[in-house]
Amino acid sequence: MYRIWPSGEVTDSATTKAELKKNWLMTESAFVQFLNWFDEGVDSGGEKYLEMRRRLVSYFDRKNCLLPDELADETLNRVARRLEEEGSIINVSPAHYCYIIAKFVFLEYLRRTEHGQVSIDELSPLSDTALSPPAISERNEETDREEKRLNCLEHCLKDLEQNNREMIIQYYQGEQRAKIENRRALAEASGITMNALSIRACRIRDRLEACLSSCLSL
Amino acid sequence: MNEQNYDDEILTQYLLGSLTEEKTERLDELSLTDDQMAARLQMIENDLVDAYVRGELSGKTLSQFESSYLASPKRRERVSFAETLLVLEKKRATEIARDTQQTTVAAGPRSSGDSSKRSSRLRIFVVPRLALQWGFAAAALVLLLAGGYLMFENMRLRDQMRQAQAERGALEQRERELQQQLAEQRSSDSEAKKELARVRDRLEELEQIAPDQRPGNANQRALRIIAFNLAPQTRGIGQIPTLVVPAGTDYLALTLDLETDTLQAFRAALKNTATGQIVWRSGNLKARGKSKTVRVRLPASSLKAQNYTVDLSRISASGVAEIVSSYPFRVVTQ
Repeated sequence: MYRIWPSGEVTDSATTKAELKKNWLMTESAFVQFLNWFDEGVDSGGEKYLEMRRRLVSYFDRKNCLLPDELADETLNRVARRLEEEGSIINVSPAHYCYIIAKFVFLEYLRRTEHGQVSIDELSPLSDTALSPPAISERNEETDREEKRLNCLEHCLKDLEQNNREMIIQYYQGEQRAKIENRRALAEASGITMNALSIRACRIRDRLEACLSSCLSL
Repeated sequence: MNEQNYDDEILTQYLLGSLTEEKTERLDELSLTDDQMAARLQMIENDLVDAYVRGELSGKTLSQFESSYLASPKRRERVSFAETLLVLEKKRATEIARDTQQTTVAAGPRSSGDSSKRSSRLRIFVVPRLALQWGFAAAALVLLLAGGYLMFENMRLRDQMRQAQAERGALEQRERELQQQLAEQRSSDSEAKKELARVRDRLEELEQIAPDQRPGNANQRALRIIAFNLAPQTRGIGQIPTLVVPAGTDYLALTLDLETDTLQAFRAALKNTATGQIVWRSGNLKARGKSKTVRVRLPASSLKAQNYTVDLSRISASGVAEIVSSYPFRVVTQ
């Protein structure tokens, strides 16, 4: 006996719904549907999806989850699958629905860790520097490693657009009061508010962090 | 909690895991559903990490950061990135400071905090600061010296002016005195001239008075005077008058007819017609009122039997004598 699921998948009657969910893979059409649902009618070019993913990673990271990126992807996959199965999700915004799913994912994660069911693959590769909170004095002694990081960061800065590069450099110039005044002047010169400047600087910083991480892994 | 006004301190405590479970759960939801809150949280987290790597955290915040925030490998990577960013920032600041120090002495220890654009702008003021200081000092010194010189010169000129004014006043006083003296002298000269004229007139009058009529001459012998009347010589050649002078004659009283103005003074001179030698001169003579004649009294002792001429001169106001008429005659003695 066979069963035909709403997704169109045909399985035998022995396959449980849970197993089907576990083996679900996002198709291209499902992804497009998912992005459109996230944009809520305003095409963001995938930016809203990426922003939500970033928020989810930070959320799981704050919860001290070992693999926050995977948990964030798991959350988004479940949202996309539910959207495909139901066709639409009403009475709740995409962000709220992601939060609801993220809570379930986190609770499942806690259950697995409590029962010791976290696989070795979920453990992050530990390095000497990750075992304990690093002291600046210790890192300063690793001149070669720091030199490589510095070179990668300079390379990543060069990859930025000129206006973004100049902005991020000036944004982090100065200390304490001078830095605040500098940022205020930068906002005025750019014709934007302080809040908009901070948001823009944060996005540029995220790109640099991702670029640096990629450069160091080479 | 007011979702529209996120307290940075609350968000910091949230990031450090020091809030209650209820508040934490609420902020968990907002961090995913509220765009404004999510952006603010990201900024606070970046600032918190930057503050840690700059050594600006202290006390409880620092301990919570190291114990809670750094427990996550991903968050430790963020700290590493912030450290590398700080190193790069300091490296750029050092390079700018070194370039600035090559031409100025005013590079500060916190020049690492300036942006490249601000540093290039600051170079305009920093590079020539020493030259500007010396320039201003030199300009001030020049102004001071110039001011002192001008003040000294002003005082000297004022003193000169005072001296010139005093000298001028003295000269004007001297001029007034000299003018006064001149006026006095002129007055004196005028009086002297008047006196001289009076004396001469008196002498003339005395000479024309008969000896026996003179005061003090009553006991002396009566003089013998012979009077003649002479007319001026004309151009025509005519017989000159002959005057017979008896022996014992004392004077010849000649009455000379005048042809000119009679208001002036005259003088007579007796001349030897043959030789032109002047044998006798008179004093100042005046015309006799309406008769238009001048009387001349010649001493007979000075006369010989020969031709004579009496030249009558008019005396001008300046004392210059001018012959106006000549009276020739012959003397015959008995």
